[in-house]
Amino acid sequence: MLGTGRIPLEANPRKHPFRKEVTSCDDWITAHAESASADWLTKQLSPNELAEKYIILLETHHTHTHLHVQHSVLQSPSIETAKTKDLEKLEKEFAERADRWEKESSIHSSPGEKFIHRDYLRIIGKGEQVVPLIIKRQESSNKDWLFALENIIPEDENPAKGIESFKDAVEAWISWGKKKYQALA
Amino acid sequence: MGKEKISSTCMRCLEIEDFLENLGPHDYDQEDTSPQTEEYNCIAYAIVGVTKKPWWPSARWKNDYEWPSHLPREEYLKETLDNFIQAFETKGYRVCSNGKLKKGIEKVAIYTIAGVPKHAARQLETGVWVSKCGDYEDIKHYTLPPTEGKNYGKVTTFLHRRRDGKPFLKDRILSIINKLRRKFLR
Repeated sequence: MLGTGRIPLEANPRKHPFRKEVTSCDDWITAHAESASADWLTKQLSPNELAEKYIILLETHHTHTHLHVQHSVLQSPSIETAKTKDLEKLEKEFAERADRWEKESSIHSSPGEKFIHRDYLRIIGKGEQVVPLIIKRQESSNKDWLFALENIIPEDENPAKGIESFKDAVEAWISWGKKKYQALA
Repeated sequence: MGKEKISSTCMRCLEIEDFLENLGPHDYDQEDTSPQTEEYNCIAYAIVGVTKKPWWPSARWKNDYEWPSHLPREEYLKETLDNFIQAFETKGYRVCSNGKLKKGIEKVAIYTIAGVPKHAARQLETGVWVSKCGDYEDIKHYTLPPTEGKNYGKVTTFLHRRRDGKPFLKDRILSIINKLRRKFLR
């Protein structure tokens, strides 16, 4: 292989897209807050994913500042607005799906048929972010939202494990929810 | 909720009509429907009538679902027809071939999808069928086909029992044979 003149790709240092622009953390935040905010809204990245994406780019130059950057990026006004809008969107979607599920699944006597309804499955698919909404809903609904919670929360955290009555299980989940998500209390 | 008043006595069950795609307003008795309730379900209503607990072989909330203690609790969507038939047998029902009206005989129809029970209806002395539709009302429908469809599937099994509560002749003979067998085997 000697004398071919080929330079392996991995031997070339990778060009960093922000290398020339970044001079300080504040500059970076100013330059990229808009794009971070857009990512938040359109791609629905979690705070960790968002911070990771932008911080990794910065780390090559500012290895000791990542905590500061993470805090600043997530607390910047544009991100805060995006977070609120995102939450409102989630709450609206949850309410629509929950209303439809409660109405349409009520034709069934089979509990399994109730739970394979598309809206119920979509809600489960949204993961832990909808848990406070489910618990709040369960407080005023006599429909079985606990099956969704059982499929989102890890089994070893299930506060109603071993309980064989729906009413008692609802109480256990609501009290667990109030401790975990203090906003519900 | 879910009912539209047509005259002073007529009430349409709009949700039920929506979800049972073959059920029209004239397929059931609009003058005789129950209120909506979650206290009992179609199986409970077919087996014992109005009651305080739904019947289902549910492994979750065992205290809330009635099921004969000697029969298995099953996984959701994997319930077996045999388990349901045995549950009805505890109340004197036996499998029969059809849902034709017969004097002195009470019949039940079990609806299934891919062999999994979804619904049950009971025949009244007049030949009309009664169904408790999930958490909605119980309705009196004149025939079975309007309640068949994507939600409840098709009627695949009929069961019957005597309205006077006495066992069928075949069961009485079997009972005598078993008594004699026990006596002579001692």
